[in-house]
Amino acid sequence: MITKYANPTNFEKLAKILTPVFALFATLLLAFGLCDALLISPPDYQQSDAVRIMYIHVPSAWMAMMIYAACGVAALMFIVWKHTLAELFLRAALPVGAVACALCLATGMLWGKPMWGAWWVWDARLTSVLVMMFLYIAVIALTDAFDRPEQGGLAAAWLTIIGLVNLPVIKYSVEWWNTLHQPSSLTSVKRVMNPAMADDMLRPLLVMGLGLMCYLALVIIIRMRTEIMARKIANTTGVK
Amino acid sequence: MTDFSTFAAMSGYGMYVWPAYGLALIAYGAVFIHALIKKDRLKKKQQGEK
Amino acid sequence: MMAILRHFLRRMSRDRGLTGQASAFFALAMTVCIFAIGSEEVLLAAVLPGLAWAILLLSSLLGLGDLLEGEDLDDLLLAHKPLPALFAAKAFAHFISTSLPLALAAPLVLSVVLPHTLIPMLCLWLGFILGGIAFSSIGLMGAALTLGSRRNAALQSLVIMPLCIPALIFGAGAVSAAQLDLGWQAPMAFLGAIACASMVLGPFAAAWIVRMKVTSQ
Repeated sequence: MITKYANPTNFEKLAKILTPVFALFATLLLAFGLCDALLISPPDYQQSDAVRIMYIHVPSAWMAMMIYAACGVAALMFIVWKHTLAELFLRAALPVGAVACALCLATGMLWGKPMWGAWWVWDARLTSVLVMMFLYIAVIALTDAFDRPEQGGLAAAWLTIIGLVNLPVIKYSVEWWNTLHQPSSLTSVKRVMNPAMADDMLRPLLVMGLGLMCYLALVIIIRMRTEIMARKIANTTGVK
Repeated sequence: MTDFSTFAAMSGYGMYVWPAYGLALIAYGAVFIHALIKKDRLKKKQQGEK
Repeated sequence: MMAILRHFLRRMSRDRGLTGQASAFFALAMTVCIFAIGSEEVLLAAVLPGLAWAILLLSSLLGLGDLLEGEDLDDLLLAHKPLPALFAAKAFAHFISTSLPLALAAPLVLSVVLPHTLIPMLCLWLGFILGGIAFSSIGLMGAALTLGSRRNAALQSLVIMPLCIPALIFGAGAVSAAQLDLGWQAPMAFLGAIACASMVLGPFAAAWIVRMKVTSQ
C-alpha cells in the first residue's frame, strides 16, 4: 500500500505547485494569443481572414497528437512498471485529447469549406486524423468496459500502444502520399515561413499553441487529482 | 460601428471563422468545467461520508 | 503445430460453422448493397470492389467474439506450447475459415457481375488474401483486448475497425488503381507490408495482453 501511494502523494505535491503556474500561463498566453490571432495578425494574402481558423485548428491538431503520444508513453510505463499514476494519466488525458482531436476535425472542416469548396475530402492527412479520432473513442470505450477497472486500464494501455503506429502516418501523410488536395496546415505553415510573413503569423500560432498546451495540462492535472481522490475514497471504503 | 461590422464580417469568411472560434470556446470550456464539476461532486461525496 | 492448427480449424469451421456463416454473410451483404445501390453497370463497376473490401472486413469480424472465450482460452493456456505460436495458429485458422474462402470465391463471382477485367480481379484476389491475413491478426489483438469485458461484440468492432482502416484503404486502392490502368503495385506493396507486420506482431501482442490479463486476475 505504501509503495502504491508513494507516487500519487508526490504527484499531489507537484500538482499543487504546477496548477497555479499552468493557470497563469494559460490565461496570459490564451488572452494574448486570441487578441493576436483575431486582431493584430494580418490576413493572409491568399486566404484573407479565413486563415485565422488556423490559430485554432493547428494548435488543436498539435495537442491531439501530443496528448496521444504522451498517452502512449504513459501506457508503456503502465504496462512495464505497473505505474498507477500512468494509468491515472491515461484516464485523465484521453478524453481531453479526444476533444482536441474532434476540434481539429471540426475546425478543419470549417476551414476546408471556403478554401477547398468541400467540408471534407478523403485526403491522407484527414483520413489518418479521423482514424486517430476513432482510436481515441475506442480506447476510452475500453477503459470503462470492464467490471474490474485495472483490466480496463490495461486493455486501454495496450490499444494506445498499438495505435501509436498511426502517429507517424499522420505526421508524414503529407509527404508519403501525393494526394490531390494539398493538406491545409503544413502548406500554411510553409507560407508562414516565407520571410515576408514569418513573424506576424507564426507568433500568434505559437502563442496559441503554448497557451492551449498549458490550458489542457491544467485540465489534465485537475482530472488526475480527482481520479486520485476517487481511488483513495474507494480504497478506504473498501477497507471499512 | 462599421469597424466592428467589418471585423465581424472577416472579409466574407465570418460564417466560417466565428463558428470555429465558438466551437473551440465551447468545447475547451466544457472540458474545464466538466473537470471542475467532477472534482466538486467527489469532494461533496467525500464530506458526506465523513 | 499442424495438429494444433487442424484442431483450431475443426473447432471453428466444423463445430461453429464459421465458414458457412462468413460466406453467407458476405453474399447476403453484397446482395443487399447492390439492391440498395441499383443495378446500373457503370456505377456498380466503380463501387463494387470497394464495397467487397468493406464487407470482407465486416465478415472477418465474425467469430472473433468467442475466439478466446472459455474452453478455447483454457486450451491455449494449458497447451504447454509458446503462447504466441498458438495465437499465430489461431489467427491463421480464423483466416482460413473466414477470409480465405471469400478471397478465393469472391473475385470469380464479382467477375460475373463486372465486365471482364483480368488485372483488377487478380488484384482483388491477392488483396483479399493479404487483407484477410491482416484482418484476422488485428482481430485477434482486438479479441485479446476485449477479453473479459462487458458488451464484448460491439466493443470489439469499435476497437478493431480503426486499426483495419489502413489495410482497407490500400486494398481497395489497389483494385481501383488497376481498374483505372494505374499502378496498383505500390498500394499492394503497402498492403503486403501491413499483412506481414500484423501477422508477425499480432500474435505476440495478443499473447502478452492475454497473459497479463490472466495473471492480474
